Amino acid sequence: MNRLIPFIVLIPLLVFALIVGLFMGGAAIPASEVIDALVRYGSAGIGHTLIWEVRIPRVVSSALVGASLAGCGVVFQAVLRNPLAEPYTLGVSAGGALGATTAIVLGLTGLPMVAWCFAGCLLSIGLVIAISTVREFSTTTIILSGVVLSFLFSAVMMFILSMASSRDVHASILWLMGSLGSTRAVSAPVLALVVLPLALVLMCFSRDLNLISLGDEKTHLLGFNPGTLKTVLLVLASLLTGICVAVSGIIGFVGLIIPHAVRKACGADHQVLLPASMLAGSSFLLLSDTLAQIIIRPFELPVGVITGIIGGVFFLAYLLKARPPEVF
Amino acid sequence: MTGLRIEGLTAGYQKLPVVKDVSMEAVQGKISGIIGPNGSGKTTLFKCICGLIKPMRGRVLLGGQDISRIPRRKFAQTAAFIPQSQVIPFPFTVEEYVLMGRYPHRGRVMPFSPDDRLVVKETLSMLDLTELKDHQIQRLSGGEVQRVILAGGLAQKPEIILMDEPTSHLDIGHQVRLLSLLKGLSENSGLTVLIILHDLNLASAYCDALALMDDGRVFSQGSPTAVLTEENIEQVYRTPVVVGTDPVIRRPHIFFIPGAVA
Repeated sequence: MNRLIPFIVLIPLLVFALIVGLFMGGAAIPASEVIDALVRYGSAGIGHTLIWEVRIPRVVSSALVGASLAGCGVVFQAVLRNPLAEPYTLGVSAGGALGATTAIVLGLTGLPMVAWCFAGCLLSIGLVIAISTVREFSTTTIILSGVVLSFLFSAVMMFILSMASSRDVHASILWLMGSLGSTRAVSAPVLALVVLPLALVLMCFSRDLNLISLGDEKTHLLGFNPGTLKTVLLVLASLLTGICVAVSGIIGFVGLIIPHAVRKACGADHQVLLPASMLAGSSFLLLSDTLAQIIIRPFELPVGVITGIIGGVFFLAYLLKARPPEVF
Repeated sequence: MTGLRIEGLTAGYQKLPVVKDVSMEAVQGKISGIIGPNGSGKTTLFKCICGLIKPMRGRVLLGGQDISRIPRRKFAQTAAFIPQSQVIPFPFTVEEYVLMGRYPHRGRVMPFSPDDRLVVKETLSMLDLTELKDHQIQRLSGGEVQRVILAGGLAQKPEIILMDEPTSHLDIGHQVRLLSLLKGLSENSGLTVLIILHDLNLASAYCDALALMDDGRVFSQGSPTAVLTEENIEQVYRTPVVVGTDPVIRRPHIFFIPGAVA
């Protein structure tokens, strides 16, 4: 029964966030017109077009990207046994961004661009693991390798951009800032077709995540294969990150704050933590994105700015507050 | 028949043997103790038995079957290993941790049965943890954590349990309660126990058989009376002692001589 409480809270929250996202946005559309467009599909009018061609795809993408980023955070944290791991702090997003920039400069769009993003993400998670194996899997090593890789990838990215045409530079920068607005490499239905099955697969690994978070030895002793498991989980999470980066650029810290908050509220059992984090991540990104659209209307902030500010402050507070053994 | 038999086992790290040509047996339904100074290869021996490291030579037989041929999950349904310590980086509760002991029986997605819940409930009450079941392990004391780790192993309902110094953080009340519990389980349910102990008097009082290890080899093995002699202990631990007899259970009792170093 206790285990249902998070969902009793989070599912209505997501519904609320979806409704807010539908009714509020860059263009002020009266509520009556939104309802009219929703119930009478196919009617004429600018409001109708905006709702069905801009807001609904955007709301769906935000929800899916938020869920994916939070889910990836949970998986990276469990596998690396470290509460500060997430796609952004590990440099996985930066790897994806490098891949995406390369793709833009090469003139690629759609699935080839996603493939480049994915390759970039895999490259960086591979490097983080390699560095941590040579050194040790401590927080310091992991976070430092994340920082170093982010720097390294940005440098390579800037090199590529310095050679590129100003049109490509403009496209890349806009995309890098992290936004769910413009049409991206992947449309909302395709994103749903990738994210939902991956999320289901990850949820089937909830028990494995519990064991892996207690270490290789415990995993082995309870009859699971830690090596295979870690590889499978990291590849799945990197794939999910790659898709997100391709869709929305770099949106930092969602994978850090959401799992942390959910863990505080509902405990560490991944059978609850993983789905609850995904629901919370969806709601969080939906609300952040709505805020990004209305805060300086008629202009729009990149949503990465909002999550970056909230997440950065949170990250700092965590580092200052956590007792040494927790940080270690 | 799930006794454990170790035959000519050599194992270690990076080709450097830490356990050298060890042969011993843990008889079903008995408590077999392993004693020996720090660094004598006890923990490495256990890791090898559990398949955490591969033997260089020799083999380990569980119920007559070579453990390298037993699938990982089947092994986990039969044998539990209780490590000295366990780093728990996330706020799991006691009950969540103990329930993980049922994973080998249920696998990745099969839901837990009422039977699993019952096993967990019984295990918690056996180890005096019922009241702590919703507490976060990270907030418990060292001794409480040690009991939680043991509960996780017992919840596997193993036929054999290997324990690496399970009493090191316990007060004498919990030491005696834990070892008496194991004695009860071995006598009544036929549980095979292989246990590393540092306290020679506890080893003497509770173990049916002892193996004294020194520098990776078995220095002496047999009944507590045969192994715990003044000569053996002085030679292996480089500490002169006096061995007397416990007035109640008539087993050897070791007395230290303050200030004396061999």
